[in-house]
Amino acid sequence: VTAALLLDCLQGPGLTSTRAAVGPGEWLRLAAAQPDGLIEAIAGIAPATGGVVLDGTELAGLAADARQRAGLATATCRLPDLQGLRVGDVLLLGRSPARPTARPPRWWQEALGTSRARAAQADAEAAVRNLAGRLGLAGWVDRDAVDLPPQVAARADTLRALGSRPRAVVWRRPEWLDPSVADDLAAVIDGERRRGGVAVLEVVSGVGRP
Amino acid sequence: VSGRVRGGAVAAGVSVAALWPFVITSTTAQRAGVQALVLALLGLSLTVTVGWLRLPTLFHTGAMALGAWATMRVLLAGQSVLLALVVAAGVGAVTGLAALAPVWRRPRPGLVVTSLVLSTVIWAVVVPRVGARGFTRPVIVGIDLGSDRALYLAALVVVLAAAAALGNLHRSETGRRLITLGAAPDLALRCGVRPDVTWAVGVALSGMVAGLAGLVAAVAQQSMPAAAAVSPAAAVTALAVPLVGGSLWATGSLVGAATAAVAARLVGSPEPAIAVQGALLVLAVLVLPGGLVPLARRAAARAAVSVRSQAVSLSGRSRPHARVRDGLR
Repeated sequence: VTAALLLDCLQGPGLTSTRAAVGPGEWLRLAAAQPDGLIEAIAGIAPATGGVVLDGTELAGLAADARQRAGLATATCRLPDLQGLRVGDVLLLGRSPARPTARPPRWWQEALGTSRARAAQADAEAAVRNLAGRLGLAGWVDRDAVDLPPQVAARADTLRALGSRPRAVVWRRPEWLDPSVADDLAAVIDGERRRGGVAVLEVVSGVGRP
Repeated sequence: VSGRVRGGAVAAGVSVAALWPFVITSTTAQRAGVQALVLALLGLSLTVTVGWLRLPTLFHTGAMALGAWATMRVLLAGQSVLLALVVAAGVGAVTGLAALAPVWRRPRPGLVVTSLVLSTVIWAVVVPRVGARGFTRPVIVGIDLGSDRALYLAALVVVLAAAAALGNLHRSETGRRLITLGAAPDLALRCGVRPDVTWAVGVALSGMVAGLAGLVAAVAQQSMPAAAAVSPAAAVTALAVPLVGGSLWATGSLVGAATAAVAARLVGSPEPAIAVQGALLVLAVLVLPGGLVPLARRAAARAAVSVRSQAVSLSGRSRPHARVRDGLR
Protein backbone atom coordinates (compact mmCIF):
# COMPACT_ATOMS: atom_id res chain seq x y z
CA VAL A 1 0.00 0.00 0.00
CA THR A 2 1.61 3.27 -1.10
CA ALA A 3 -1.33 5.57 -0.40
CA ALA A 4 -1.20 7.69 2.75
CA LEU A 5 -4.96 7.33 3.13
CA LEU A 6 -6.86 4.43 1.65
CA LEU A 7 -10.62 3.85 1.85
CA ASP A 8 -11.29 0.24 1.02
CA CYS A 9 -14.95 -0.50 0.27
CA LEU A 10 -16.03 1.73 3.15
CA GLN A 11 -19.73 1.30 3.66
CA GLY A 12 -22.19 2.32 6.32
CA PRO A 13 -25.89 3.01 6.87
CA GLY A 14 -27.01 5.15 3.94
CA LEU A 15 -23.55 5.09 2.36
CA THR A 16 -22.62 3.41 -0.88
CA SER A 17 -19.38 1.47 -0.95
CA THR A 18 -16.52 3.96 -1.29
CA ARG A 19 -13.01 3.31 -2.53
CA ALA A 20 -10.35 6.02 -2.66
CA ALA A 21 -6.58 6.28 -2.36
CA VAL A 22 -4.66 9.47 -1.60
CA GLY A 23 -0.87 9.50 -1.71
CA PRO A 24 1.36 11.52 0.63
CA GLY A 25 1.15 15.20 -0.33
CA GLU A 26 -1.70 14.55 -2.77
CA TRP A 27 -5.13 16.19 -2.92
CA LEU A 28 -8.14 14.17 -3.97
CA ARG A 29 -11.65 15.50 -4.39
CA LEU A 30 -14.35 12.93 -3.71
CA ALA A 31 -18.04 13.46 -4.43
CA ALA A 32 -20.39 11.68 -2.06
CA ALA A 33 -24.16 11.56 -1.79
CA GLN A 34 -23.83 11.97 1.99
CA PRO A 35 -20.57 13.82 2.65
CA ASP A 36 -21.13 14.23 6.39
CA GLY A 37 -22.04 10.56 6.78
CA LEU A 38 -18.92 9.53 4.90
CA ILE A 39 -16.70 11.74 7.07
CA GLU A 40 -18.29 10.32 10.23
CA ALA A 41 -17.62 6.80 8.94
CA ILE A 42 -13.98 7.64 8.19
CA ALA A 43 -13.58 9.30 11.58
CA GLY A 44 -15.03 6.26 13.32
CA ILE A 45 -18.01 8.08 14.78
CA ALA A 46 -20.64 6.34 12.64
CA PRO A 47 -20.66 2.53 12.28
CA ALA A 48 -19.13 1.32 9.02
CA THR A 49 -17.68 -1.72 7.36
CA GLY A 50 -14.64 -1.83 5.12
CA GLY A 51 -11.16 -0.51 5.62
CA VAL A 52 -9.61 2.85 6.49
CA VAL A 53 -5.84 2.59 6.16
CA LEU A 54 -3.48 5.40 7.17
CA ASP A 55 0.17 5.00 6.17
CA GLY A 56 -0.27 1.24 6.08
CA THR A 57 -1.99 1.06 9.47
CA GLU A 58 -5.54 -0.26 9.54
CA LEU A 59 -7.73 2.15 11.50
CA ALA A 60 -11.04 0.33 11.06
CA GLY A 61 -10.81 -1.41 14.43
CA LEU A 62 -9.84 1.76 16.30
CA ALA A 63 -12.12 4.13 18.17
CA ALA A 64 -12.55 7.67 16.85
CA ASP A 65 -10.19 9.24 19.37
CA ALA A 66 -7.48 6.68 18.59
CA ARG A 67 -7.81 7.42 14.86
CA GLN A 68 -7.17 11.10 15.53
CA ARG A 69 -4.12 10.29 17.63
CA ALA A 70 -2.89 8.02 14.82
CA GLY A 71 -2.72 11.10 12.54
CA LEU A 72 -6.13 11.32 10.89
CA ALA A 73 -7.90 14.67 11.10
CA THR A 74 -11.45 15.35 9.97
CA ALA A 75 -13.09 18.73 9.52
CA THR A 76 -16.78 19.14 8.75
CA CYS A 77 -16.54 22.95 8.72
CA ARG A 78 -19.36 23.13 11.24
CA LEU A 79 -19.13 23.64 14.98
CA PRO A 80 -21.72 23.02 17.70
CA ASP A 81 -22.19 25.65 20.39
CA LEU A 82 -19.49 25.24 23.02
CA GLN A 83 -20.67 27.34 25.95
CA GLY A 84 -17.80 28.05 28.30
CA LEU A 85 -15.09 27.91 25.63
CA ARG A 86 -13.62 30.66 23.48
CA VAL A 87 -12.98 30.32 19.76
CA GLY A 88 -9.28 30.18 20.70
CA ASP A 89 -10.01 27.16 22.90
CA VAL A 90 -11.64 25.42 19.93
CA LEU A 91 -8.48 25.97 17.88
CA LEU A 92 -6.46 24.46 20.71
CA LEU A 93 -8.58 21.29 20.88
CA GLY A 94 -6.51 18.30 19.95
CA ARG A 95 -3.57 20.50 19.04
CA SER A 96 -0.24 18.72 18.98
CA PRO A 97 2.59 20.68 20.57
CA ALA A 98 5.23 22.17 18.29
CA ARG A 99 7.88 20.35 20.31
CA PRO A 100 6.60 16.79 20.82
CA THR A 101 9.47 16.05 23.20
CA ALA A 102 8.15 18.58 25.72
CA ARG A 103 6.08 16.68 28.29
CA PRO A 104 2.63 18.25 28.57
CA PRO A 105 1.61 19.29 32.08
CA ARG A 106 -0.52 16.92 34.15
CA TRP A 107 -4.04 17.91 35.19
CA TRP A 108 -2.98 18.60 38.76
CA GLN A 109 -0.21 20.90 37.53
CA GLU A 110 -2.82 22.75 35.47
CA ALA A 111 -5.10 22.99 38.51
CA LEU A 112 -2.31 24.35 40.70
CA GLY A 113 -1.12 26.70 37.94
CA THR A 114 2.51 25.55 38.15
CA SER A 115 5.19 27.27 36.07
CA ARG A 116 5.21 24.36 33.61
CA ALA A 117 1.45 24.59 33.14
CA ARG A 118 1.59 28.36 32.69
CA ALA A 119 4.42 28.07 30.15
CA ALA A 120 2.54 25.41 28.17
CA GLN A 121 -0.59 27.56 28.21
CA ALA A 122 1.35 30.63 27.03
CA ASP A 123 2.98 28.61 24.21
CA ALA A 124 -0.37 27.26 23.06
CA GLU A 125 -1.99 30.69 23.25
CA ALA A 126 0.76 32.29 21.17
CA ALA A 127 0.61 29.53 18.57
CA VAL A 128 -3.14 29.80 18.27
CA ARG A 129 -3.10 33.59 17.88
CA ASN A 130 -0.46 33.24 15.18
CA LEU A 131 -2.53 30.62 13.36
CA ALA A 132 -5.76 32.58 13.74
CA GLY A 133 -4.15 35.74 12.45
CA ARG A 134 -3.21 34.03 9.21
CA LEU A 135 -6.80 33.11 8.46
CA GLY A 136 -8.62 36.24 9.57
CA LEU A 137 -9.76 34.87 12.92
CA ALA A 138 -7.62 37.13 15.11
CA GLY A 139 -10.62 39.17 16.19
CA TRP A 140 -12.54 36.04 17.14
CA VAL A 141 -10.02 34.26 19.34
CA ASP A 142 -11.41 35.65 22.61
CA ARG A 143 -15.10 35.44 21.68
CA ASP A 144 -17.34 32.76 23.16
CA ALA A 145 -17.71 29.75 20.84
CA VAL A 146 -21.46 30.18 20.72
CA ASP A 147 -23.69 31.27 17.83
CA LEU A 148 -20.70 31.66 15.53
CA PRO A 149 -21.33 32.86 11.97
CA PRO A 150 -21.00 29.90 9.54
CA GLN A 151 -17.87 31.27 7.89
CA VAL A 152 -16.16 31.68 11.28
CA ALA A 153 -17.19 28.15 12.31
CA ALA A 154 -15.81 26.77 9.03
CA ARG A 155 -12.49 28.55 9.51
CA ALA A 156 -12.23 27.51 13.16
CA ASP A 157 -13.00 23.85 12.46
CA THR A 158 -10.49 23.71 9.60
CA LEU A 159 -7.76 25.34 11.69
CA ARG A 160 -8.55 22.99 14.57
CA ALA A 161 -8.06 19.99 12.31
CA LEU A 162 -4.77 21.32 10.95
CA GLY A 163 -3.55 22.13 14.47
CA SER A 164 -3.22 18.43 15.29
CA ARG A 165 -0.42 18.17 12.66
CA PRO A 166 -2.14 15.27 10.90
CA ARG A 167 -0.75 12.95 8.24
CA ALA A 168 -4.07 12.98 6.41
CA VAL A 169 -6.95 15.45 6.47
CA VAL A 170 -10.49 14.65 5.43
CA TRP A 171 -12.06 18.02 4.74
CA ARG A 172 -15.68 18.78 3.96
CA ARG A 173 -15.75 21.69 1.53
CA PRO A 174 -18.19 24.26 2.97
CA GLU A 175 -20.38 24.50 -0.13
CA TRP A 176 -23.03 26.36 1.84
CA LEU A 177 -20.72 29.38 2.14
CA ASP A 178 -19.48 31.96 -0.31
CA PRO A 179 -17.04 30.17 -2.69
CA SER A 180 -14.31 32.68 -1.82
CA VAL A 181 -14.37 31.52 1.83
CA ALA A 182 -14.05 27.88 0.77
CA ASP A 183 -11.22 28.82 -1.59
CA ASP A 184 -9.41 30.66 1.23
CA LEU A 185 -9.65 27.57 3.41
CA ALA A 186 -8.54 25.33 0.56
CA ALA A 187 -5.48 27.56 0.08
CA VAL A 188 -4.53 27.19 3.75
CA ILE A 189 -4.91 23.40 3.61
CA ASP A 190 -2.96 23.35 0.36
CA GLY A 191 -0.15 25.21 2.10
CA GLU A 192 -0.01 22.51 4.77
CA ARG A 193 -0.09 19.85 2.07
CA ARG A 194 2.88 21.35 0.25
CA ARG A 195 4.82 22.05 3.43
CA GLY A 196 4.24 18.87 5.37
CA GLY A 197 3.25 16.32 2.74
CA VAL A 198 -0.22 15.97 4.25
CA ALA A 199 -2.66 13.83 2.25
CA VAL A 200 -5.91 15.72 1.67
CA LEU A 201 -9.25 14.12 0.90
CA GLU A 202 -11.76 16.82 0.02
CA VAL A 203 -15.35 15.65 0.23
CA VAL A 204 -18.08 17.46 -1.67
CA SER A 205 -21.75 16.70 -2.07
CA GLY A 206 -23.21 15.01 -5.10
CA VAL A 207 -22.33 11.93 -7.08
CA GLY A 208 -20.51 12.07 -10.37
CA ARG A 209 -19.03 15.53 -9.91
CA PRO A 210 -15.38 15.94 -10.86
CA VAL B 1 -11.81 46.43 29.90
CA SER B 2 -13.75 43.19 30.45
CA GLY B 3 -10.74 41.64 32.20
CA ARG B 4 -10.51 44.60 34.58
CA VAL B 5 -14.24 44.55 35.24
CA ARG B 6 -14.13 40.82 35.95
CA GLY B 7 -11.08 41.20 38.21
CA GLY B 8 -12.71 44.08 40.06
CA ALA B 9 -15.93 42.14 40.57
CA VAL B 10 -14.03 39.11 41.90
CA ALA B 11 -11.92 41.30 44.22
CA ALA B 12 -15.03 43.03 45.53
CA GLY B 13 -16.78 39.71 46.12
CA VAL B 14 -13.80 38.22 47.95
CA SER B 15 -13.44 41.36 50.08
CA VAL B 16 -17.09 41.26 51.11
CA ALA B 17 -16.89 37.52 51.86
CA ALA B 18 -13.76 38.02 54.00
CA LEU B 19 -14.82 41.15 55.85
CA TRP B 20 -18.50 40.67 56.74
CA PRO B 21 -17.78 38.44 59.79
CA PHE B 22 -15.93 41.40 61.32
CA VAL B 23 -19.03 43.58 60.87
CA ILE B 24 -21.75 41.04 61.67
CA THR B 25 -20.49 39.34 64.81
CA SER B 26 -23.55 37.18 65.43
CA THR B 27 -22.52 33.56 65.99
CA THR B 28 -25.64 32.35 64.18
CA ALA B 29 -24.77 34.36 61.09
CA GLN B 30 -21.19 33.13 61.10
CA ARG B 31 -22.31 29.50 61.41
CA ALA B 32 -24.70 30.08 58.53
CA GLY B 33 -21.74 31.49 56.61
CA VAL B 34 -19.81 28.25 57.17
CA GLN B 35 -22.83 26.25 55.96
CA ALA B 36 -22.96 28.46 52.85
CA LEU B 37 -19.27 27.69 52.22
CA VAL B 38 -19.98 23.95 52.51
CA LEU B 39 -22.72 24.48 49.95
CA ALA B 40 -20.28 26.43 47.75
CA LEU B 41 -17.87 23.49 47.81
CA LEU B 42 -20.69 21.12 46.84
CA GLY B 43 -21.58 23.55 44.05
CA LEU B 44 -17.96 23.64 42.85
CA SER B 45 -17.88 19.86 42.73
CA LEU B 46 -21.08 19.93 40.68
CA THR B 47 -19.54 22.48 38.32
CA VAL B 48 -17.24 19.76 36.99
CA THR B 49 -19.87 17.07 36.45
CA VAL B 50 -23.10 18.97 35.82
CA GLY B 51 -21.55 22.04 34.20
CA TRP B 52 -18.54 20.81 32.25
CA LEU B 53 -19.31 17.15 31.61
CA ARG B 54 -23.10 17.66 31.56
CA LEU B 55 -23.50 14.51 33.62
CA PRO B 56 -26.26 14.85 36.22
CA THR B 57 -24.73 13.16 39.26
CA LEU B 58 -25.91 12.68 42.83
CA PHE B 59 -22.90 11.11 44.55
CA HIS B 60 -21.72 14.39 46.05
CA THR B 61 -23.48 14.09 49.37
CA GLY B 62 -22.13 10.55 49.68
CA ALA B 63 -18.59 11.80 48.97
CA MET B 64 -19.19 14.59 51.47
CA ALA B 65 -20.34 12.12 54.15
CA LEU B 66 -17.33 9.87 53.64
CA GLY B 67 -15.02 12.91 53.56
CA ALA B 68 -16.47 14.00 56.89
CA TRP B 69 -16.04 10.50 58.31
CA ALA B 70 -12.41 10.37 57.13
CA THR B 71 -11.80 13.80 58.70
CA MET B 72 -13.29 12.63 61.98
CA ARG B 73 -11.07 9.52 62.01
CA VAL B 74 -7.91 11.45 61.17
CA LEU B 75 -8.52 14.17 63.77
CA LEU B 76 -9.54 11.65 66.45
CA ALA B 77 -6.25 9.85 65.77
CA GLY B 78 -4.49 13.09 66.70
CA GLN B 79 -3.24 13.80 63.17
CA SER B 80 -3.08 17.27 61.58
CA VAL B 81 -5.93 18.89 59.70
CA LEU B 82 -3.70 19.10 56.59
CA LEU B 83 -3.51 15.30 56.51
CA ALA B 84 -7.28 15.22 56.99
CA LEU B 85 -7.59 17.54 53.97
CA VAL B 86 -5.63 15.16 51.75
CA VAL B 87 -7.45 12.07 53.04
CA ALA B 88 -10.91 13.68 52.68
CA ALA B 89 -10.14 14.73 49.09
CA GLY B 90 -8.86 11.24 48.29
CA VAL B 91 -11.89 9.53 49.83
CA GLY B 92 -14.16 11.86 47.84
CA ALA B 93 -12.34 11.02 44.60
CA VAL B 94 -12.64 7.29 45.26
CA THR B 95 -16.37 7.71 45.99
CA GLY B 96 -16.87 9.44 42.65
CA LEU B 97 -14.93 6.75 40.81
CA ALA B 98 -16.97 4.06 42.58
CA ALA B 99 -20.16 5.66 41.22
CA LEU B 100 -18.64 5.81 37.73
CA ALA B 101 -17.17 2.29 37.69
CA PRO B 102 -20.35 0.35 36.74
CA VAL B 103 -21.07 2.68 33.81
CA TRP B 104 -17.59 3.91 32.93
CA ARG B 105 -17.95 3.15 29.21
CA ARG B 106 -21.28 4.93 28.83
CA PRO B 107 -22.02 7.11 31.88
CA ARG B 108 -24.87 9.03 30.29
CA PRO B 109 -27.53 8.50 31.69
CA GLY B 110 -26.49 5.53 33.87
CA LEU B 111 -24.38 7.64 36.25
CA VAL B 112 -27.52 9.29 37.62
CA VAL B 113 -28.77 5.92 38.80
CA THR B 114 -25.44 4.56 40.12
CA SER B 115 -24.64 7.80 41.94
CA LEU B 116 -28.12 7.94 43.48
CA VAL B 117 -27.81 4.33 44.63
CA LEU B 118 -24.34 4.96 46.06
CA SER B 119 -25.32 8.11 47.95
CA THR B 120 -28.45 6.39 49.26
CA VAL B 121 -26.42 3.41 50.51
CA ILE B 122 -23.89 5.73 52.18
CA TRP B 123 -26.66 7.79 53.80
CA ALA B 124 -28.89 4.88 54.87
CA VAL B 125 -26.35 2.17 55.68
CA VAL B 126 -22.86 3.58 56.18
CA VAL B 127 -23.47 6.87 58.00
CA PRO B 128 -25.68 5.42 60.81
CA ARG B 129 -23.09 2.69 61.48
CA VAL B 130 -19.84 4.63 61.56
CA GLY B 131 -20.70 6.12 64.93
CA ALA B 132 -20.32 9.86 65.20
CA ARG B 133 -17.82 10.90 67.87
CA GLY B 134 -17.13 14.44 68.92
CA PHE B 135 -13.71 16.07 68.70
CA THR B 136 -12.32 19.50 69.46
CA ARG B 137 -11.73 21.87 66.59
CA PRO B 138 -8.12 21.69 65.45
CA VAL B 139 -5.41 24.33 65.20
CA ILE B 140 -4.09 24.97 61.71
CA VAL B 141 -0.78 26.82 61.19
CA GLY B 142 -1.16 28.45 64.57
CA ILE B 143 -4.77 29.54 64.04
CA ASP B 144 -7.25 28.06 66.49
CA LEU B 145 -10.42 27.12 64.63
CA GLY B 146 -12.35 27.13 67.91
CA SER B 147 -14.07 30.42 67.11
CA ASP B 148 -16.74 30.51 64.43
CA ARG B 149 -15.11 33.47 62.70
CA ALA B 150 -11.73 31.72 62.43
CA LEU B 151 -13.44 28.61 61.11
CA TYR B 152 -15.37 30.68 58.57
CA LEU B 153 -12.18 32.37 57.32
CA ALA B 154 -10.30 29.06 57.09
CA ALA B 155 -13.23 27.53 55.18
CA LEU B 156 -13.26 30.58 52.91
CA VAL B 157 -9.59 29.94 52.08
CA VAL B 158 -10.43 26.32 51.17
CA VAL B 159 -13.33 27.46 48.96
CA LEU B 160 -11.28 30.13 47.20
CA ALA B 161 -8.40 27.70 46.63
CA ALA B 162 -10.81 25.15 45.14
CA ALA B 163 -12.42 27.84 42.96
CA ALA B 164 -9.00 29.06 41.77
CA ALA B 165 -7.96 25.49 40.91
CA LEU B 166 -11.13 24.96 38.90
CA GLY B 167 -10.62 28.34 37.21
CA ASN B 168 -7.09 27.28 36.21
CA LEU B 169 -8.44 23.98 34.91
CA HIS B 170 -11.16 25.74 32.91
CA ARG B 171 -8.44 27.56 30.93
CA SER B 172 -6.29 24.46 30.49
CA GLU B 173 -6.20 21.48 28.14
CA THR B 174 -7.97 19.34 30.74
CA GLY B 175 -10.82 21.84 31.05
CA ARG B 176 -11.19 22.13 27.29
CA ARG B 177 -11.41 18.35 27.01
CA LEU B 178 -13.98 18.07 29.81
CA ILE B 179 -16.19 20.82 28.41
CA THR B 180 -15.99 19.58 24.82
CA LEU B 181 -16.78 16.01 25.85
CA GLY B 182 -19.82 17.31 27.70
CA ALA B 183 -21.11 19.69 25.05
CA ALA B 184 -20.12 17.91 21.82
CA PRO B 185 -19.01 14.29 22.30
CA ASP B 186 -18.51 13.69 18.56
CA LEU B 187 -16.25 16.73 18.24
CA ALA B 188 -14.32 15.60 21.31
CA LEU B 189 -13.72 12.20 19.72
CA ARG B 190 -12.57 13.85 16.49
CA CYS B 191 -10.12 15.88 18.62
CA GLY B 192 -8.59 12.74 20.13
CA VAL B 193 -10.20 13.07 23.56
CA ARG B 194 -10.30 9.69 25.35
CA PRO B 195 -13.79 9.66 26.86
CA ASP B 196 -13.19 7.03 29.55
CA VAL B 197 -10.10 8.79 30.92
CA THR B 198 -11.72 12.21 30.71
CA TRP B 199 -14.86 11.08 32.51
CA ALA B 200 -12.75 9.48 35.24
CA VAL B 201 -10.67 12.64 35.70
CA GLY B 202 -13.79 14.81 35.87
CA VAL B 203 -15.63 12.58 38.33
CA ALA B 204 -12.54 12.18 40.53
CA LEU B 205 -12.01 15.95 40.58
CA SER B 206 -15.63 16.48 41.47
CA GLY B 207 -15.45 13.90 44.25
CA MET B 208 -12.30 15.51 45.68
CA VAL B 209 -14.05 18.85 46.08
CA ALA B 210 -17.11 17.14 47.60
CA GLY B 211 -14.76 15.41 50.05
CA LEU B 212 -13.42 18.81 51.06
CA ALA B 213 -17.01 19.91 51.71
CA GLY B 214 -17.22 16.97 54.11
CA LEU B 215 -14.05 18.13 55.86
CA VAL B 216 -15.39 21.63 56.43
CA ALA B 217 -18.77 20.28 57.55
CA ALA B 218 -17.13 17.85 60.01
CA VAL B 219 -14.86 20.49 61.53
CA ALA B 220 -17.81 22.88 61.84
CA GLN B 221 -20.00 20.25 63.54
CA GLN B 222 -17.06 18.79 65.49
CA SER B 223 -18.51 15.43 64.45
CA MET B 224 -20.32 13.90 61.49
CA PRO B 225 -22.75 16.30 59.77
CA ALA B 226 -26.46 15.75 60.33
CA ALA B 227 -27.98 12.92 58.29
CA ALA B 228 -30.32 15.35 56.49
CA ALA B 229 -27.32 17.28 55.15
CA VAL B 230 -25.91 14.20 53.38
CA SER B 231 -29.20 12.68 52.21
CA PRO B 232 -30.01 12.01 48.56
CA ALA B 233 -32.63 14.78 48.80
CA ALA B 234 -29.86 17.20 49.73
CA ALA B 235 -27.91 15.97 46.67
CA VAL B 236 -30.83 16.88 44.40
CA THR B 237 -31.40 20.31 45.90
CA ALA B 238 -27.67 21.10 45.87
CA LEU B 239 -28.01 21.17 42.08
CA ALA B 240 -29.58 24.59 42.59
CA VAL B 241 -26.20 26.09 43.55
CA PRO B 242 -24.43 25.78 40.18
CA LEU B 243 -27.66 26.19 38.21
CA VAL B 244 -28.55 29.52 39.85
CA GLY B 245 -25.06 30.96 39.53
CA GLY B 246 -24.02 29.42 36.22
CA SER B 247 -22.90 25.82 36.04
CA LEU B 248 -19.95 26.33 33.70
CA TRP B 249 -17.96 28.72 35.85
CA ALA B 250 -16.49 28.31 39.32
CA THR B 251 -17.71 31.80 40.17
CA GLY B 252 -21.22 30.60 39.32
CA SER B 253 -21.20 28.17 42.24
CA LEU B 254 -19.93 30.87 44.60
CA VAL B 255 -22.68 33.22 43.46
CA GLY B 256 -25.24 30.39 43.73
CA ALA B 257 -24.19 29.54 47.29
CA ALA B 258 -24.31 33.22 48.30
CA THR B 259 -27.77 33.52 46.74
CA ALA B 260 -28.97 30.44 48.64
CA ALA B 261 -27.60 31.84 51.92
CA VAL B 262 -29.17 35.28 51.40
CA ALA B 263 -32.49 33.71 50.32
CA ALA B 264 -32.49 31.54 53.45
CA ARG B 265 -31.91 34.62 55.63
CA LEU B 266 -34.72 36.47 53.86
CA VAL B 267 -37.21 33.69 54.60
CA GLY B 268 -36.00 33.47 58.18
CA SER B 269 -34.14 30.18 57.97
CA PRO B 270 -30.88 30.14 59.96
CA GLU B 271 -28.98 28.32 57.23
CA PRO B 272 -29.39 27.49 53.51
CA ALA B 273 -32.10 24.90 54.06
CA ILE B 274 -33.10 22.23 51.60
CA ALA B 275 -36.50 23.83 50.98
CA VAL B 276 -34.89 27.13 49.98
CA GLN B 277 -32.49 25.35 47.63
CA GLY B 278 -35.38 23.42 46.13
CA ALA B 279 -37.25 26.64 45.43
CA LEU B 280 -34.11 28.13 43.88
CA LEU B 281 -33.68 25.01 41.75
CA VAL B 282 -37.17 25.50 40.31
CA LEU B 283 -36.51 29.20 39.74
CA ALA B 284 -33.18 28.47 38.05
CA VAL B 285 -34.73 26.01 35.64
CA LEU B 286 -37.74 28.20 34.84
CA VAL B 287 -36.35 31.74 34.92
CA LEU B 288 -32.57 31.59 34.71
CA PRO B 289 -31.46 29.16 32.04
CA GLY B 290 -27.67 29.52 32.12
CA GLY B 291 -27.50 31.22 35.52
CA LEU B 292 -26.59 34.62 36.94
CA VAL B 293 -22.93 34.72 35.87
CA PRO B 294 -23.61 34.37 32.11
CA LEU B 295 -26.37 36.97 32.53
CA ALA B 296 -23.85 39.37 34.07
CA ARG B 297 -21.27 38.56 31.37
CA ARG B 298 -23.77 39.36 28.62
CA ALA B 299 -24.79 42.60 30.36
CA ALA B 300 -21.13 43.62 30.76
CA ALA B 301 -20.44 42.85 27.09
CA ARG B 302 -23.44 44.92 26.01
CA ALA B 303 -22.32 47.80 28.25
CA ALA B 304 -18.79 47.63 26.83
CA VAL B 305 -20.11 47.77 23.25
CA SER B 306 -22.35 50.70 24.16
CA VAL B 307 -19.50 52.62 25.83
CA ARG B 308 -17.20 51.94 22.87
CA SER B 309 -19.75 53.11 20.30
CA GLN B 310 -20.44 56.28 22.33
CA ALA B 311 -16.70 56.98 22.52
CA VAL B 312 -16.38 56.54 18.75
CA SER B 313 -19.32 58.85 18.05
CA LEU B 314 -17.99 61.50 20.48
CA SER B 315 -14.58 61.44 18.82
CA GLY B 316 -16.27 62.10 15.46
CA ARG B 317 -14.75 59.07 13.80
CA SER B 318 -16.71 56.96 11.37
CA ARG B 319 -17.83 53.52 12.42
CA PRO B 320 -15.30 50.70 11.96
CA HIS B 321 -17.27 48.84 9.27
CA ALA B 322 -17.72 52.10 7.36
CA ARG B 323 -13.94 52.62 7.43
CA VAL B 324 -13.42 49.13 6.06
CA ARG B 325 -15.92 49.81 3.28
CA ASP B 326 -14.18 53.10 2.43
CA GLY B 327 -10.86 51.29 2.37
CA LEU B 328 -12.19 48.69 -0.04
CA ARG B 329 -13.25 51.42 -2.45
